[in-house]
Amino acid sequence: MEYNNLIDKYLEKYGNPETERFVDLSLDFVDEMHSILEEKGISQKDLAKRMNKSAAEVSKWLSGNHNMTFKSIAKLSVALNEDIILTTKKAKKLFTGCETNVINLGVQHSLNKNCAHNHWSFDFSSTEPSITTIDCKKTARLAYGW
Amino acid sequence: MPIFATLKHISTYRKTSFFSVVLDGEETSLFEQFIENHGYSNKEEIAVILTNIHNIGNKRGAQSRFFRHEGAAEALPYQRRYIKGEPGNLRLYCSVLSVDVVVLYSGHIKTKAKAQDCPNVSNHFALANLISNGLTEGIKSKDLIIDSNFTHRLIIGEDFELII
Repeated sequence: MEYNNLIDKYLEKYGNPETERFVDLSLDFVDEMHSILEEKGISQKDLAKRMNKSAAEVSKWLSGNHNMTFKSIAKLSVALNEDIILTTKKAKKLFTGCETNVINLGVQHSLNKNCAHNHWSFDFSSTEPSITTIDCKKTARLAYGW
Repeated sequence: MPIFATLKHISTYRKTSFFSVVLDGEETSLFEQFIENHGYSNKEEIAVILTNIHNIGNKRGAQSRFFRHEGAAEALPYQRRYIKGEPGNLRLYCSVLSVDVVVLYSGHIKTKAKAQDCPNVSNHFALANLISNGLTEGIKSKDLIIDSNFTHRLIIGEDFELII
């Protein structure tokens, strides 16, 4: 077996799109859970209480040792009061009507809790206008505790 | 008796570089031996592990949440994948030195809940923990420096000796 670029060479031969999607989805899930827990300030222990499960069991769920089913995803969604997985159709419905550019002139811009876009905020209030990125969903969560 | 070892570069991706360890007297690294031993007999599980490395390296960086935590070392894959109804249990032990640098060791099919109780992985697990401690010492003493500014390089000091 040739050892230069061992990983890429192996994947070129034996990797497949299904495995790529499986790994990507599961790591997205970990990221999503991590981000929701962090934003809401919920510890794994709190989550376990909300789900009526032991902390060890919840840790197993979040560490990949649990074979996730629709039922377990639904349980998590209810406990967190948050959509963990959005279907494309549902996402399109939720994001329709979302403003793509928000002008911030020191006035509270409209925050859409379901918006997953990164909006641009143009600040012309100072002598040097600045542009910053706003994670709309995160900002809305922080502002209104959604 | 102490074993001397050297670090060997395996692959560098956009966010993370991967290294392995060559034990004194051996020609190939622990990771290369792992692929040699399981690359043909456990193709599906090796593909899952390597796809994780590729995905983490290119897309995410080595955040600790993408690894299993076993003793002083970590393990891949994060996921438990059911292959033909049976959980896939091939483990690759590694050390996450930072989001930029991961050192890959070896592993085997885990048959017991605790790595220490499994005849297949207990040696790999023990070795991974020993090396991991050695690397942590190297970082503490600044003989090993992680340069994350440009290429996620691991700068190995001239005096650094990895002794297991």
